[in-house]
Amino acid sequence: MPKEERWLKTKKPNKTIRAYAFGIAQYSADNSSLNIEMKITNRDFIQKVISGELRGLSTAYVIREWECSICHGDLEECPHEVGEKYDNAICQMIAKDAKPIEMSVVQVPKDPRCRIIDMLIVKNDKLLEFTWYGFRVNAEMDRFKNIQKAYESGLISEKAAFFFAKFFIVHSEGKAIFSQSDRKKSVL
Amino acid sequence: MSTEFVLHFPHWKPFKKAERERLIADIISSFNSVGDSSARVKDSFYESKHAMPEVVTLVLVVLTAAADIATIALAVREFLKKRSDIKELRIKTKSIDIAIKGNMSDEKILKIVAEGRKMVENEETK
Repeated sequence: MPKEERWLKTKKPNKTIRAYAFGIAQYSADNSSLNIEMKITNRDFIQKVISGELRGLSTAYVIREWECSICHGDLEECPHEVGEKYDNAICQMIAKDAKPIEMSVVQVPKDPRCRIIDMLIVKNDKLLEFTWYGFRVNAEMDRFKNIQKAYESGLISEKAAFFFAKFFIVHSEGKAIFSQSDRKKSVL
Repeated sequence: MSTEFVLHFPHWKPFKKAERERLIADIISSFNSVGDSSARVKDSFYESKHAMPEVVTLVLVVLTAAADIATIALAVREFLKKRSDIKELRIKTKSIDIAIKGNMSDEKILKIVAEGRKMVENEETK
């Protein structure tokens, strides 16, 4: 069993990590992504993310309403079917009313596509703040090119290529603010 | 006395309204067939877990006056008999979590329920 560290989300402004993850279901809570805040209970966590030991993400959401990407109506009631093509646009499900219930940073995520990809650490002495950002950079495009290549060589269907491309769009962003006493002990 | 339990239906996309209503009607009629006319769906929503947006699970929160988990398990089996497209359903209450299949006999269901109860008792005595 992979070692797993888990934090429940919190809305407290300090000591938080923010992570964004989206795929075929575009979560509309914040510009097509969900904003999940987690309390850091273990300072060693940051070092583990930096070292690459903990980069996987595992999330859970409760969704009460789905929107259709074609007609923007209620997906439960509209005539469009997810995955089907309508006038060159494929119908996607959009989670309209989604609430994050859990976010875990794990060593080995169940879905290997959902990971913290890269980070930049900014140390701000005045604000006692350490910030890191996940970038989508070229890695995502490279993956997309590979999917495109697989599609062009006939290895996967157009529908599969579309879904794979969507699944790979995953990125995250983090931020941690420590108190004065925490900072003195900080490993950074 | 009433019992609240949840049923999970994993699917790759949300159900259409008519499909969801048919599912709920099938569950209610299955409870009626085992002599429980009190069952009703209290809440329904979707869950997406493990950062896998391609799998969404319809969660139905069912409330019934039947206090005996065996009655609930028998009703769920009746539901699965009707719906051959669903192989297995888990019944989760606050204290018990059991898996029911459509081809299970009465004896098998009673055995699973008894084992589930025993596990709960063991947890409580720890």
